[in-house]
Amino acid sequence: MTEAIKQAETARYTTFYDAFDRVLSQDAPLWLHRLRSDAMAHFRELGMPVAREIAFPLREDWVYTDLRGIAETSYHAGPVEARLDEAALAPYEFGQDDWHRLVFVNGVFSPALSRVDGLPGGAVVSTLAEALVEHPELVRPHLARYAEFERTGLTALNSALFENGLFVYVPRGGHLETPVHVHYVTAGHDTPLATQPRTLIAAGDGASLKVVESYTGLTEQAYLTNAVTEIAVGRDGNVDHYRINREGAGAAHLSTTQLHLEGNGRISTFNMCMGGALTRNDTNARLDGEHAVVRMNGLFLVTGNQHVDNHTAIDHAVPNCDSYEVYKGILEGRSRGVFNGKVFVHQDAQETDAKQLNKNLMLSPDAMIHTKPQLEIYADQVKCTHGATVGQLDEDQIFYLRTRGLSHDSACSLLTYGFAADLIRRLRIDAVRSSLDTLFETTIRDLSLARDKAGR
Amino acid sequence: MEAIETLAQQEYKEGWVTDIEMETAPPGLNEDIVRFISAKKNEPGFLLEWRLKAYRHWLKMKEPNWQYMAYPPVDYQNIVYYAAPKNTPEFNSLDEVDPELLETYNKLGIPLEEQKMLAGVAVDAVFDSVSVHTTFKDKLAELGIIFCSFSEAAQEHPDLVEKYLGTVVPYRDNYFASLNSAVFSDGSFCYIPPGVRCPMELSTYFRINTAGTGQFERTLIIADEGSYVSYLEGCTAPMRDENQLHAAVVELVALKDAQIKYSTVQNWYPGNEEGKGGVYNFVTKRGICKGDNAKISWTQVETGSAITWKYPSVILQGDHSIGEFYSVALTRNKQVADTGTKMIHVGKDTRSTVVSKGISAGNGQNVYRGRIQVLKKADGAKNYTQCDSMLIGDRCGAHTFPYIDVGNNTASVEHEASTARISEDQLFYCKTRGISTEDAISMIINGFCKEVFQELPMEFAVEAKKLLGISLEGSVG
Repeated sequence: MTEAIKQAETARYTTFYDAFDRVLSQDAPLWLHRLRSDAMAHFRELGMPVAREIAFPLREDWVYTDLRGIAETSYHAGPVEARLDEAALAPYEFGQDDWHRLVFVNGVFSPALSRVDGLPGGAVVSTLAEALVEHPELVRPHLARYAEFERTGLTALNSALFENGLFVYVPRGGHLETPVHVHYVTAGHDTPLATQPRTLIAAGDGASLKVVESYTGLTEQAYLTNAVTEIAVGRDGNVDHYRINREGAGAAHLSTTQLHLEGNGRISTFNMCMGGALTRNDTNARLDGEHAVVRMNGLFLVTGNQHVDNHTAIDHAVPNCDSYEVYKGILEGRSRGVFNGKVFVHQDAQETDAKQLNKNLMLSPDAMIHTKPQLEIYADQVKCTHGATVGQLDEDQIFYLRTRGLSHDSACSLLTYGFAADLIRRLRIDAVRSSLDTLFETTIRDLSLARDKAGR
Repeated sequence: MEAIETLAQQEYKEGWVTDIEMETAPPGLNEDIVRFISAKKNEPGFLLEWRLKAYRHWLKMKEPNWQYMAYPPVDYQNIVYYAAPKNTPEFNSLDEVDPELLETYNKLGIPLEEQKMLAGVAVDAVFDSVSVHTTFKDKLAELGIIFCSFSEAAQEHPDLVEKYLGTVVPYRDNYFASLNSAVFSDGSFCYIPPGVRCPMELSTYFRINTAGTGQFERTLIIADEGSYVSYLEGCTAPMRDENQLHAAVVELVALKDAQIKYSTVQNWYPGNEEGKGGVYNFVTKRGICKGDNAKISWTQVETGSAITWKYPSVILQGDHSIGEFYSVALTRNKQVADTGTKMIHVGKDTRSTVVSKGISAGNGQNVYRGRIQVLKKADGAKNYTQCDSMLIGDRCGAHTFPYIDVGNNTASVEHEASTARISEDQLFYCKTRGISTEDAISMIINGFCKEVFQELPMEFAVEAKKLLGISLEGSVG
């Protein structure tokens, strides 16, 4: 390695290192300091996963998504105060006033835009910073216990630098009927901003809750969101989780969502992505108790030069668990999509039922998709299937609609919408379902109009 | 399921060593060895140059490390790169052939004499490194078909060899292909002239014999415009305690409207129950549909070898060309099979079909690894992939790593995979009908593999079914 390259490398991440010193100087319990220091040590060693700089097998996970540009950007690391009106957020809301809502703008909690009331006994919905002060005994058993930072640089970075985020706790047998909506907004800054949102959700035995995470960008500028979400559900617990990415046009959105299920626990998660210049989601589930069920769905619609990469991993560690996964992608323009779905079935995990489906719709000749549904099975009494398709709209179906008097464009829009609606229809919160339904319908119609104008 | 378990205990039936005097190069690899091999074979200059380029490139390469298996490091300096039966004479009749060699073939069940008269199959039997006998050559020659050993082709048809060698698998392709390019000893060469339909199945039996001799076969098949050929490759190897490396290269070239069907039954020594002593089968197989409407079809039944590591692939360059891959891979004891295919769609309206059936028993690990690549210009490309796994016992594994890369929006790519086992219900049903457990299992497995077997030529299909039955004996129950 030449001197010049060495120097360039030490120059990388300096703002993150400075931010770490600042975070560490804040008042916090010793265990948290230790956790952060440990995570930072790992980040110093690992750095960001830039494919050409890391070795097999880690490289395999990053071959289609190049983080080099991000690794070499000098971000303003950390929260920055910004003013925001309620009205600016309105288009990204689901129109429900009674929901618990927490809003973070540029990483800073905004009490004015947030409200939490009417919680059932023992339940906590607050910022993570507040919970660390008020309820450390509830945070500590879960924080950083599921999302490992030993092997992934991005999780290590978040674990070292996070300052705030959402904390939800519902005790044994509690039911949080009203959904919690956490809104991570980036409103822009004079230098590219990097935020580290951290979400921790814990449902006790038999508890249930619903959480919607929104990542929204109100700027065209370049910025980085490096999010980590951990969700743990106890025995017989039930968590309904949504993740909506409507980041700004210049955004890089990197995220890890780690799900942990105990016996008979249920998590269903839905990951929607429309925004950002570059998005990479790692959604991992570990089924750690018998009869646990995870549903992992995802939908993305990208255009222009957008790049979206969904990596999922489902780990069947014990017998009798089920996992159901459907990911769909719609690609317009010169966009690029990546899907990698891993299912591991351990030797003891007999009677596993794992189903995975990945479907991609290519609307443009310049789009590109890489998909890799991957199964690794070490047990024999299992039912595991996966499927992947890449295709375009069916000419016969278009023809059928045209014989019914629809224009070519309307027919295409309708079929594209139908492709997405199949997943949207499954959403269990009415407000989210109807709002995303409308969003997709209008976006698809706009895309079709744009295509029409371009004369394609 | 104890009967299932016992199937794996079966001893390798085809293990023995034939004593024939060998003329052997000293173990080790350097430029002198490459020159020695080339000189031994009396090769034209371009071939030696090509070997040396490959060797020099190989020196710069690293062994790959992404595969799903671990094997002890191979000492490339401890391999004998050339071993030939002494005084390779030009045989005119079978009487001249070393009787011991014929005995070996008889044990393998290759009735050279009978086949010549009855079966209508031309056999180019490769014993270790040098081709010793070729049948039906005259008959094929009448049609203008060239079917001979690679060494012979290098001397008799250097123009064809020079034109096509390395065009599908270049000498820089991968570690083992480069090694093969440098030191390949012999193999088969086949050329079908334009418009000719080869009237019989061409067949080669490979056999690894001398202890410590890695086999580096090189096969080159060229189907000229509008021609058709079906090629069979079958292998067995004698029992050995030392791991034997086999790094072959197969290149297929199908020109406009031509069709090549390549079938393999591989039953090399898989090692003992602990996996000791089996063959490493690291093979590079690739075909190119160079012209429009060309078709290449790979069919393989892999039951042997300690490690099978190969991806027979097709580059679909011509418009409307077709690529097919049908595979059954069975692993038991400590066997590993990391196999699959690559279909690279370059031309318009190209189609590919992939059907892979993996069966794992005992501690066997079965991996399907494949890539479907649709390039930007490949309008209307279609692919259908199906990979099914069957697990027998709770210590085996089945893994799939399918890569799908699509850069054209008129392409349609479908991938399906499933994992299943022989259910107690199925076995019970068969038993109530008076079918023994072993027969029931054999029947279910054969049903599972049916889609692949029906792609095999008739004689091979029968053999493959038997082979699967024998291989699974005692591992199910």
